[in-house]
Amino acid sequence: MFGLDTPIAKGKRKLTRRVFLLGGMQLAMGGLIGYRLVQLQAWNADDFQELAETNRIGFGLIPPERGLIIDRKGLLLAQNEQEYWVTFVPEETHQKRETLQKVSQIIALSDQEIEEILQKIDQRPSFIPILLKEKVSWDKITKLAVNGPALPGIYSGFGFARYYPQGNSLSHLIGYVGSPSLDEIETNSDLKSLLSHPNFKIGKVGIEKALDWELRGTPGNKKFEVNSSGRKGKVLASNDPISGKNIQLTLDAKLHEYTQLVLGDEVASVFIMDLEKGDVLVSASKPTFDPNLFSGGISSSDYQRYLENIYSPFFNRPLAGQYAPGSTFKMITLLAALESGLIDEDFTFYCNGSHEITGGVFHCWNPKGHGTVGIKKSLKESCDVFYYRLAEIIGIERIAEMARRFGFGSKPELPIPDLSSGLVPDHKWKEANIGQSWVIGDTMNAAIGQGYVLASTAQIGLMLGRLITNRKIMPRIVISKDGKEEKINEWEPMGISEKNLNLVLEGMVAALNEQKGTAYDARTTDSNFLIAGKTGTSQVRRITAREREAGVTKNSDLPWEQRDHAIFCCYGPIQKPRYVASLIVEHGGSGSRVAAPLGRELIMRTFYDALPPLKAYPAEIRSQIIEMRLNFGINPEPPKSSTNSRA
Amino acid sequence: MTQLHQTLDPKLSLLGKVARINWILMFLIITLSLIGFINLYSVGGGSFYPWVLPQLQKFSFGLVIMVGIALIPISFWQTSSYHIYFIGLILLVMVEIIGVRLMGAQRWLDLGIVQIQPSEIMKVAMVIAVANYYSQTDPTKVSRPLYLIFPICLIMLPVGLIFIQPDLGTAILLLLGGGIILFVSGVSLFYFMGVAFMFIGAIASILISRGTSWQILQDYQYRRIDTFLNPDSDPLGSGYQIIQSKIAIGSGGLTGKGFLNGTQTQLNFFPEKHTDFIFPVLAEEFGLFWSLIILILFFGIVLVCLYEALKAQDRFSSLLIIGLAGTFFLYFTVNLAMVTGLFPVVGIPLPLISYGGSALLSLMISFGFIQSAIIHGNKDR
Repeated sequence: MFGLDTPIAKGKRKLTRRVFLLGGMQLAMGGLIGYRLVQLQAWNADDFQELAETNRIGFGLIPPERGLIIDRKGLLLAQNEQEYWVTFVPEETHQKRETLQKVSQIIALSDQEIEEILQKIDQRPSFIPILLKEKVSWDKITKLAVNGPALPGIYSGFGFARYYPQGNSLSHLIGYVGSPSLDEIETNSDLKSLLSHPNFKIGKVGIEKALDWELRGTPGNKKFEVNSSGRKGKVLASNDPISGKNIQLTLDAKLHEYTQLVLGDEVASVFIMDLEKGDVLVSASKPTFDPNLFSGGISSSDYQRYLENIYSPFFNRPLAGQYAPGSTFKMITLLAALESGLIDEDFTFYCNGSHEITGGVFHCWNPKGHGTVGIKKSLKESCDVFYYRLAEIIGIERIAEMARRFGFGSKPELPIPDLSSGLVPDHKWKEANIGQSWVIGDTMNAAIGQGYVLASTAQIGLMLGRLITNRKIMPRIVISKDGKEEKINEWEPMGISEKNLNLVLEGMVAALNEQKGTAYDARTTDSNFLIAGKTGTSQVRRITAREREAGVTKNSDLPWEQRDHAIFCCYGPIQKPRYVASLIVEHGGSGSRVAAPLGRELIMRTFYDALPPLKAYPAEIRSQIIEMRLNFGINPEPPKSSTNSRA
Repeated sequence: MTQLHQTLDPKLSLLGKVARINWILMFLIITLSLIGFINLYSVGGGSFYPWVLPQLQKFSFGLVIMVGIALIPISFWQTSSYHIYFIGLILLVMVEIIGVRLMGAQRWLDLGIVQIQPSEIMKVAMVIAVANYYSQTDPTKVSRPLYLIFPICLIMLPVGLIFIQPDLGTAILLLLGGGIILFVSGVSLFYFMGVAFMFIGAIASILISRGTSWQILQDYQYRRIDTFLNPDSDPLGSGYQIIQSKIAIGSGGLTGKGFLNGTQTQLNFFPEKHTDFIFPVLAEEFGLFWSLIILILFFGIVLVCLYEALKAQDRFSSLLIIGLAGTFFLYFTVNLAMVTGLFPVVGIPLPLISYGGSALLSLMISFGFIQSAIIHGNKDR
């Protein structure tokens, strides 16, 4: 039958051949697919498994709780308060606008805010919650919960908001937190992932900024599944966040509060230090601002109000301010002269009210003159002519060198951003920065702390500390981090002769405790706590010869912004010095009249650690003190037990 | 004795017919379908809804239809072949006029009670008609141009109608399915080589013309070609699907991630995983071993069919089986090649495994015809 060559048999044979050909081609195709499967699933499986994992796993950070900041007595300066916020998940309703309008009846959203939220909704995947409002009160949250069914997609959540219980009295030093800016995200690569947390904040100013890294803590993380559209699924693993370190500062919150109170409306700065360990007790700036306005994002009107305030409330005056130190610099000039050996303890000079040198006449603050002035009298009465003479003898370089040893011209080692270094001028500086050569007149000005010399309130206090201890005292502001006390470096000796230092201190004692002393009115009368100090007046503007002729001789005749800065620095008790205080009242006029009484008030408040007893004030001003206290709304006669001293 | 009895009596008893059903083929079909149900259960996120139960219903219905068609003598189907083809063609034209637009393409026809997809009917009808034509044509004359006009018209009419729906994938597969019958019917290989050269020439001129003044395709079409050639160039656009599909298959490894544990599948990283992209689900959760078993089961069906086609004494039966099995082959290979990144993405489901009523029904009808041919086709042996 197969031998027959009929068309049908031919067709059958051909079909068989072609079927085998077809089957072969089909099997070849099958082989190719099989090969491909082996390639994907056996040879490259590892690569694809890795790709599948990266597809699937999402990471989320759990923000850590920020460390607390407490003062030296354990009072909270910065804490975390639970706050509630309201979010909206757009995909859960089609009537977005209506829902938002309903919610706005409870949490008060303006029409403009609603429009902004609707715009945001369009720009993002609709399952991502949008923050509607922060810091929502609890009763509003309960109201939202009650109305839940009518408000699809509306959720409330809670987290922590920074709160500063001391309000504005320490705001410059503590600073505040805020959402990281783009620049800050660039420089802190670890922040990038935390950005997804709308209320993650970082320190912006002050301690919050300087110690941000330690306060921030370590975020926990969550590994969770994500699906193709990025929606989070089940949690695979999680690490708890580690809270930031709790930081105890050397500051005294109550003392700060009192400082703010007594400074009143002055534009001023105060720096108080405990010499035992160099603890900064007070570093206060006036006027101030409310840091709590910042933690939830400050409103632009509040911010504008602060910016428009001509007294610059954001300016951290005691540390960043720079003023001519005025007569408080005389201790440096005197010490430089004594240490140079060019004068001795018996050196005197006659003051007739002015000092003439080649190139001009330099006036003493007292046009009548001080007569014969010795070392003690020069400080007690703050005779300018005496110091012009010292400057002539020793020259600027000796003064500058001594000033640097006492901390002028360099930033104090404090963990605070934006410290000023002040300025100690000399020949080299003037040529480099002004382009003129140093003249004798510059030395005259520098000797009495005017001219180019600049210092911060803190530097003046620091100088006084070093003068008393004869050591290179370093201020500290952090006592401990998470209970672990910060190491205190031993202070190097200054290497200045004790005899010369005592001569300087004697002058300062006389300035407060002897009649005709510039700050005699600011003395104390409690024998346990007598204080010594030096007043200063920082010339903002020289009274011109023409004005002098026109009768303007007193600073108070000038407009406020042209008046001198009043400066005072003091320490006590004089037998065993423990505390130093320095303060500058901007445009306050005279150091002795304005600054010195404030300085006494604050150093006494520091020493007694309570309202100072009335017996500590000279009898003739006690009635004034009582009046002041009544004005402050304080009981003027504190109970006896509170007269115990801090020490 | 029985053989003689059957030879003498062309009219088979019902029991005799059932006995002659190719049960190996039946077993393979049911096994693949079961694997399909297991997969749909996984795609549904571990649930019989929304895919498994409806598909089970359709499969049971299709099984009944298959057996029904199988029991009807193949001679009846041969005599009805042109009628069936004609009805299919009319339905295709109707789709063009009154069809329902779904997902951008006009493929469905709403007949009031049921929605049908005439292109699915045509997949079967065209093969029967072409097989019928060649069974009646002198095998020695099939290569004559005059004898080629009619079968080419039989093929090109539905292909053209489906192409303009537009459903490029189905149109190409229909064309190739018709080509397989022409091939086994003995049409000279020169024609096939000629077509192949023309195809290669067309591709070449399309590629060469790019960027010239006589550019043949639109820019976006060229970009689609680029994406196919290198899916990584557009990982979030059209390349996305194929990348995710390859990740799913590859990450399954040798043993798979376990039933319901495929991360790519369960976390929704690729679309259409109940239809065109169902194979990656299987490959991801069960691994290479089972992927290859599926491949072998598919080829088992094709090889059983080819064996039966060679065994059949009647030319129509042979051609019918080869044509329908060839179409089946084209469907699963193109789908597998697509999900593994060998072919560009064309909307072709994986037969017996993917969800879908119309395609399953036409497939079961095809197997009905194949079984009918097996039962009745070698009656004279």
